[in-house]
Amino acid sequence: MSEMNALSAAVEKGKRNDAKLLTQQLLDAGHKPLDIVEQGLVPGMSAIGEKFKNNEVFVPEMLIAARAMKECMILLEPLLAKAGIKPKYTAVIGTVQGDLHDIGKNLVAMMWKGANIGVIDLGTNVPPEKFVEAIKAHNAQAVGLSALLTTTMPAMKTTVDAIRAAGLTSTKILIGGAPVTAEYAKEIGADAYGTDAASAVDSLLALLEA
Amino acid sequence: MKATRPTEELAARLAGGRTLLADGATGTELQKKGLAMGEAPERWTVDRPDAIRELARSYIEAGSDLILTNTFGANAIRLGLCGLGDRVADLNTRAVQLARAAIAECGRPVWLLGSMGPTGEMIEPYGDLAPDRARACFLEQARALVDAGVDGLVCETFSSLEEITLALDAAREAGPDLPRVGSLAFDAGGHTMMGVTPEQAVAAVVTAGAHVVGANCSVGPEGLEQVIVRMKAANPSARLWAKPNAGLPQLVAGRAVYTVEADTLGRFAGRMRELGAAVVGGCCGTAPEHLRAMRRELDRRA
Repeated sequence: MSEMNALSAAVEKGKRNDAKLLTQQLLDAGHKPLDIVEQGLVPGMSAIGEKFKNNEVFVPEMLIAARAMKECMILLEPLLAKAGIKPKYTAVIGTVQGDLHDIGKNLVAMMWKGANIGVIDLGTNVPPEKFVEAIKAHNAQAVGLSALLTTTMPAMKTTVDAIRAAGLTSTKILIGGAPVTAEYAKEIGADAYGTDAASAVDSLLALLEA
Repeated sequence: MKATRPTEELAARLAGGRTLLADGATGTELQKKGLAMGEAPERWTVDRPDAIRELARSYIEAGSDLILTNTFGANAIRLGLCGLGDRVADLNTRAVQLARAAIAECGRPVWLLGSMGPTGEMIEPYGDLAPDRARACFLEQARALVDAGVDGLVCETFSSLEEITLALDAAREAGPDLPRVGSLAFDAGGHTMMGVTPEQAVAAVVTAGAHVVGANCSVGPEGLEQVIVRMKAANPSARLWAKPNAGLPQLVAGRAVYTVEADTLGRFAGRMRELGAAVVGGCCGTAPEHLRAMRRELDRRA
């Protein structure tokens, strides 16, 4: 197995020490940081995401894979920054106003990062105007809204309305969370609904590359 | 009229005999009474004590044999999210007092169990929460509930075996002689969010010293029944606890509505009784009418 494949496998299995070591070895061998991200880390996260989608693994495995990737990014980020390389896309994410749950939102954020998308995480209980400000400030092409509670789902609509009212008509809006459905996404004028964190990557890229 | 039942009798009843009826939803019922979007139900223990007492009374009048305190999120971590992190003892104590007042008003003896939910954070290595800190939070809450006079403790809606084990361990330390229930939330695929199966749950919860093990929330009666059947198959002598949601919420005119009807919950109660479950009740979306239907079914088959 090539070192690049070994890195993907280490990320997928959440072996953070191995992943970090392999990243350093690849750098020492002259591989470009962006290639390591795109050919080593992204396939690893994509593989674990696929297993998550199929109920073969669960949240713990996703979290340790993301932690392994994070360790690698600590080595790679300064080099990417120095070379002036930024992610192709930037997305804002947050849990809507009134809702304090962050596990689902965090999983999507880590999967987006795992697909080399720049992520601006606004946390939980985010008012609509904060989403608008962040989209503008970071020139984000997309925004992800999360809600766990049935009672906070209406805040998704308020947020979508605020984003559109602010003139951000081309910003892609993705929504997700336990009570959310594709039907609801359509009803409130969001662009897509993600059933799970792995699908959120596919949905986002499909919208941005359409 | 004597309105409290001896705790010792609860332990015996949970250990064997007729299926007991617990209560229904707290959060979704309080929302019907005006609890704001995202507002912690525990806040109403001090802000709207009348509503908390009224809800408890409605379940007692519907026929519950036991009710739970309004303390699901009353641990320091969860309360900390809404600025009430230093009110753990106070909110748990008052919630017990409100429930006791409701029981006294009804004049029908029912048992009172203290509800303890998860912290909402992930325990190391999956998150930043140290096990010792989680256990300390659960112990603080369990002590307040026990000191205020609950008849037992219910650790409910957990996803992680590590976390429910810490909660049950704290519950045992706080009330070594009180009955303890451990209940997890399973999705439609039969796993908890952390990937735990019903078989793994039953083994771990029994090992953690709980007298009753079960499932609540997340899915409706059909989904939850499958989990309970698997628990029973994995450990035929386990005493079981079953509190499903009134199905998954459906969107009606932009509002989330739970659509499973009372009679469906009633039939579920009947099947659980046939299975020999120790306790049945309802979680999100279940109202007193669901509980009345369950009561009728349990009595009919008794």
